[in-house]
Amino acid sequence: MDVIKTPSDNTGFIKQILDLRELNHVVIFCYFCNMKLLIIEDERQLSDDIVSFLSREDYLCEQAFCVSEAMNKVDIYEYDCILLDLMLPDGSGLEILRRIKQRAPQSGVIIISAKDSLDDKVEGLKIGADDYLPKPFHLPELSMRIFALLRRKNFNSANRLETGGITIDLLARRVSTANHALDLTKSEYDVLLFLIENRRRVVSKSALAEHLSGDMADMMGDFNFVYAHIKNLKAKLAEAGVVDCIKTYYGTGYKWVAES
Amino acid sequence: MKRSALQKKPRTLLSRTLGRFLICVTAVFMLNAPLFYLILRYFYADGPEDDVMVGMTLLFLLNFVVISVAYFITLRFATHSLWHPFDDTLRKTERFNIAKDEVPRFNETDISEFNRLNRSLAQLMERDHESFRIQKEFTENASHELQTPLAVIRSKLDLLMQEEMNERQMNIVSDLYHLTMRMSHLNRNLLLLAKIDNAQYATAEEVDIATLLAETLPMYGVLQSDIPIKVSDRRSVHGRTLRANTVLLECLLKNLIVNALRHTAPGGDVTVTMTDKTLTVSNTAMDGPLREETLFRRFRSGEVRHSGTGLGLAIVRSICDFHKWTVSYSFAEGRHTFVLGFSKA
Repeated sequence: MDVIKTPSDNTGFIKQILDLRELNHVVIFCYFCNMKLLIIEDERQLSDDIVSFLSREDYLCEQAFCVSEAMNKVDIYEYDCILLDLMLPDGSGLEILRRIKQRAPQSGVIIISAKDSLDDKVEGLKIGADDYLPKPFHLPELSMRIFALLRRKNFNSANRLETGGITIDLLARRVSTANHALDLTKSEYDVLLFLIENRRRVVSKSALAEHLSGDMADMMGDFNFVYAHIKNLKAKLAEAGVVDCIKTYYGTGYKWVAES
Repeated sequence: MKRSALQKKPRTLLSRTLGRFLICVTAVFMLNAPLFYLILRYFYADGPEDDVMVGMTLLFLLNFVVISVAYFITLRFATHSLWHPFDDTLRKTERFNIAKDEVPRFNETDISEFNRLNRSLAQLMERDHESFRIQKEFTENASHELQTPLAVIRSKLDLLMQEEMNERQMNIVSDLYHLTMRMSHLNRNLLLLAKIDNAQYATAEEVDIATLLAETLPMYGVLQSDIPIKVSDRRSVHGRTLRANTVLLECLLKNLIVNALRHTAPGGDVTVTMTDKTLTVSNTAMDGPLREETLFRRFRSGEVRHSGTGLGLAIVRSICDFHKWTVSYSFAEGRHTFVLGFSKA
């Protein structure tokens, strides 16, 4: 897989794997190896943190810290996913977005912005951004959004996740084990998907809370409701014979530990 | 006004008025000159002794009439045109809206006081306008500048969480995590309040409040499944729309309902009642009544805050004020009740 460098090759490769998957149940995650990401963010520390957090996914991450640098990169290379900050020292990210949509409309763009204003959001989505994530965000949330975006862009037909003995039908939002269909509530399903898409990582309770309820988590003031959902989810999984897949870290962090 | 300003040097209002008055008096005198002449000739030159008295009286009266008429004309007409620039200034000042307009342009006049007034008014407005702009920019920039370091702290904590840690360390990280979330929430709320105050959510549309409420209700189930939210009378107000900003209205409902959920005693419930003109949110109280006078203040003190930012109800009040709605609090039979009153549009 290391020889595959450009996204176009990658998609061809992906299609092959897709056919293979039908036969071998290859787990979906490895399709995203060598996906090319561009992180356009002027805050160097944040940019580095994103790179280091995403490194577990085997994405090829590149960084740009200003508009001119980003423009150069966008002009030369094609990326599968671009994280775009709107407020850059030498101009607006919306300019870059327009350029991207002109040159490589198939690239997915997620706007990450501290300017939490509705106008920018609407403007960004109108130009053609795929998602909008206001700062500050949780890295697991970002990772999940990237994953969802890549999946949407590349796998219209492959919408199944298999891990730790369970299968998730992403389109029908149904979870099942080999011989058992699980009856999960919407929140439990969201928790499960969030954990699985951040597998091998510890996800904090507050990241889960924000993922589940948006800004209402803040209004609520505590995140104990997450605990209740996790507890129910664990019980339902255990009932279906899937045990010890979710590891709890001292009541404050959770991790999906089942190997695929 | 501009034309005359080019020709005439500006003078004070007093000298302009006096000037007009003198011109008037002269003009009226001139017009009456034949009358003076006739009176003088008839009563002084030709007539007997007695007639001189009559003549003097008549002249005196005529003088009085001439001056009165001149005075009246000056007051009625000349002054009107003299004060016209003042009217103009007044109109422009009344129409001036700090949030929207540019500073109005005042015309040069030939009255020095008005020129001074216009100049200082323009300066004052410009300064106001500038400070308003700076304040608006500041709240936005301050929020942005705070948001970025918060984002970095949060991402560092996300990375730190991946390390091998013992329980004590994990709890410290978790506490830090909570605090950064509270800080960013606080930051967002302050920005929201500033934006409402600056009328940056000016767009309004017709919102069907029953539908909006029905759409948002399932979201609260995520937070609390034990406490039921009862909605009554939804059918009777179906189709009733309200002129409001959707983003703000949603924020208002969320704040009220989450606030109610947070302070509901175990086993209690939250009830939302709608009528044509009101929306009531009530919940089973954990303890006694709250102090109404400080309830809606920002960062109210004298009350133990376990969590939250203390801005939720301030935002509720602010959104209500913005839409010219009322909000009131009451406590009865162990229930906290908040009533929103929408003035009938």
